Amino acid sequence: MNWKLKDILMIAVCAVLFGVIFLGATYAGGILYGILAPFGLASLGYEPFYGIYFLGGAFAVYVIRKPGTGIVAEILGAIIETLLGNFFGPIIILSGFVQGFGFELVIALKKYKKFDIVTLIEASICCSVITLIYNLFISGYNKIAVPVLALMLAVRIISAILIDAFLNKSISDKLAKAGVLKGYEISKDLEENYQE
Amino acid sequence: MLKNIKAEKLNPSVKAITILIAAILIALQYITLLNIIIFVSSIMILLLFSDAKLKQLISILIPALMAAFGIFLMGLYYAKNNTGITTSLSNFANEPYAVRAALSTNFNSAVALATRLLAYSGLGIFFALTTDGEEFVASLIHQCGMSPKFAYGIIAAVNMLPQMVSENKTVKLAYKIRGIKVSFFSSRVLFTMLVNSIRASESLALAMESKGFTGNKDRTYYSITKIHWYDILFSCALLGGIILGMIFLQ
Amino acid sequence: MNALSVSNLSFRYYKNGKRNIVDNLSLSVEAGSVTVILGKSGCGKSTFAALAAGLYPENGGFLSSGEIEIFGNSIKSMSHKDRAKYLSIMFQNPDLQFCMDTLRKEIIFCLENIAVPPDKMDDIIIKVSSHLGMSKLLDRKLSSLSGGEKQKASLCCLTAINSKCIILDEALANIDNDSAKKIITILAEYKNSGGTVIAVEHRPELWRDIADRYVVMGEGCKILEENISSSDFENFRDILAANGIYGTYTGKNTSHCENSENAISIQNFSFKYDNENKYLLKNACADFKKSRITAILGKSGIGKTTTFLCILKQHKFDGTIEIFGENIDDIRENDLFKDVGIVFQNPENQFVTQKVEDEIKASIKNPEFLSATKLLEEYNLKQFAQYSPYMLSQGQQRRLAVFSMIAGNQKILLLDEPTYGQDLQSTENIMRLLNNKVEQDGLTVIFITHDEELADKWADDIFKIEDGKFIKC
Repeated sequence: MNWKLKDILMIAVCAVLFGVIFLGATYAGGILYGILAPFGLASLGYEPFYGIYFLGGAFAVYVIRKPGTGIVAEILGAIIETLLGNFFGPIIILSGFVQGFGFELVIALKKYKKFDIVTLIEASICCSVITLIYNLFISGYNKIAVPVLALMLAVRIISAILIDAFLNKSISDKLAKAGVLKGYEISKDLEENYQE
Repeated sequence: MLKNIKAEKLNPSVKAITILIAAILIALQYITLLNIIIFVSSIMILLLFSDAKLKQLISILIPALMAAFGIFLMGLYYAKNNTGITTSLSNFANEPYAVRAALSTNFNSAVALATRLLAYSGLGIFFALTTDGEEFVASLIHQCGMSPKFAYGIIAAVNMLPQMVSENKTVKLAYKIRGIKVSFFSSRVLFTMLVNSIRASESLALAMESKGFTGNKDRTYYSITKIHWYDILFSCALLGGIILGMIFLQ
Repeated sequence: MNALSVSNLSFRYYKNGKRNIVDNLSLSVEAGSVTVILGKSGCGKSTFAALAAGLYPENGGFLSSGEIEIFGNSIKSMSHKDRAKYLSIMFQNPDLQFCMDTLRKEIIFCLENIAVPPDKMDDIIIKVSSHLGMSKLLDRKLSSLSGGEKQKASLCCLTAINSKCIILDEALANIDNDSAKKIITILAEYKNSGGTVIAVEHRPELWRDIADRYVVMGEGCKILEENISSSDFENFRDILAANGIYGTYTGKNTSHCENSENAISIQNFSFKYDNENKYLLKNACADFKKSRITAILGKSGIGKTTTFLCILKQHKFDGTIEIFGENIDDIRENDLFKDVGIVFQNPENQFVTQKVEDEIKASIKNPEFLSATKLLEEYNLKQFAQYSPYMLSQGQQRRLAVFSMIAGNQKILLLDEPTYGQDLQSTENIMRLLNNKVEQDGLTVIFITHDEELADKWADDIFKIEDGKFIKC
């Protein structure tokens, strides 16, 4: 698509915002980590926040609704994370790509025409599955017992559905209704209601 | 002479791409010793050949070590064991920790998982603490062909951060003052912050374009990042070292 | 030669929109002149400024008719890079003008945009920054500069680009008078060297010395008067006042009863910004009297807003603050907020709901006594009850923010520049409403402003923050 500066800035500024929120969430993740550590499930403490990881791409593709927006938004978000000092450094750019791809895949299969809650839930599930497959390879999760992986996946899916399907849709729809997203595809049907 | 060798001088894009390839190589093996060598030497190079402050290093190392310890525990408790039968929660949960650890046949897997994460974070931390953000983005333009529109979009957004943090406080106060409770993650606060962010991005776009920014490559550059011989050397040394390690430490 | 020439310009935000934001506007501005454009809040003059720079319709909206030429060239055929050499804009919000983190980098960004050879950049940076007295701030973080300094930094960038024409889109609206006057002095020099200035403004008196011409715009940028000169400005006061654009404030009729009781008493009060060592206020003292209106004046960045945050226990300070005789250290936050309300500078930060009606309801603690509908009627916002607060015009948003706080029935109301960016009429409306609350319910009002006349006409007491102290005027 032909990107306008304001679209890029919108995605990038929101990515910074989600980054700030994610940082806040990792504190809570730390507590959860401590609680789960005695059961050997400390790593599971990060899973409930995976939905926030995916939010940049999910939000962008839901609002702009054009091919590539989810992937580009996630890569931008990952570059920004790298700049803010993530300990995985540039490796998360690869993760960002996988996350954006995972979410956008379902939307693309529906030809960027369907954006109901079912589609978003499917995209959230798809994104969770694909990122876990990525983890199998890159993080070596294939050494972990299958039931535990299933548990991780389940938590990840629930987190993704709550944040990237339900929260994403409700907040984006509210923003569109409030006229804040005027000019974007999501607002197309609403334009007649706006004051001006 | 040695003092002039600084990791900060490396071209950020070359550094980033090299580390990305290294990460994929690391994913192909489970050689504990190699992973440890990568982690330790990353930190050593950081300490010897960069201006990174020890305080910075510690504050970024802690979450990395936490994550590594987490995955170590997970490997220890729940790795697939050699026979392919998985150890279940009930077998172990009631035993004291030391017993569980000693009884575990999973120790090797646990170490492999944890050291792999350490290897990643060693490289990641090396990048994070030796790379200037703006220089990285500049080299994305010059070496990776990124459009200035995206590059300056990223820089502008990152520079919004201080403002966003203070705005976040204001927005939370707005809710509190009306007697509405907000937690660290509140969809209400998120909503207001998104309104702010979207409005800000519109204003910022107008301001940048008003000052002649087209987003195309029809611009000059005050300084241009280049690739030097030592970038190639770094790249070959790191990747070559890992490949040799994969062959000889097997 | 015309710097800007606009003919039959019509623009709307939506193709099927109900009204044109700019409606059939024709206007020309001679090169080398200073033109001040006055108009009601929300009349479309800011949109006109963005249109003149070719930022719309590229960034939204729909141009149904009209031509814009700058220095004889059609804007349609120009890229931002080419256009910037002729014309650029200084915007209202100083926080949203820069993409880099220091002034030096921002100037470099601008010079790169217009493809200045890199070896010439350093000289230009030195030249423009010393000319505007900004040399020392070149490498400071822009986010740490005051509003006035930021606008000067913005002017530095435009000077570096060397645009032949500068449009100021209410760029002086929320900076103090001294900083505003300094910027106007610089613009006077710019004019003398052949530059063209178009200023969209609410405070015409600031420009009296250098303005060649005032243009008055009504709804849809309809031109009401276009050839008022500085010398016969007085003769047009009636037109401006009748349209609620500009005039003298009526002010309150009577001074409020001299009350010995303190609403807020501040003693030995010191604080600094986060991450900075310098104290902004040092051992300052002030008493804010109950059931009166107090104005706080002072340069931008001097600590006015932070003082409010301290009163609300949101910022660390040394010394004591008492509210109705009770030390705030002994008051729980929730109880404090029942007594003290705040209206922020940006009303969009204030809203907590999705509907105008709900916004009022959210503040009403005791629904038996007050009905939201009734209040909305009283506040003239009833027709918007079902709208989202974010869809209101800036003036309406500001009123709603004040109303929704008042509906909470707090005893003390802190307002951070409640009238900034407002025309005469909206300003008067807000102040009258506050004044009524003081008279009827004994509300204590403390407001921050840069508008000295507003303070004179509406406040009982005035404090100025200077050299880290409150000085009673």
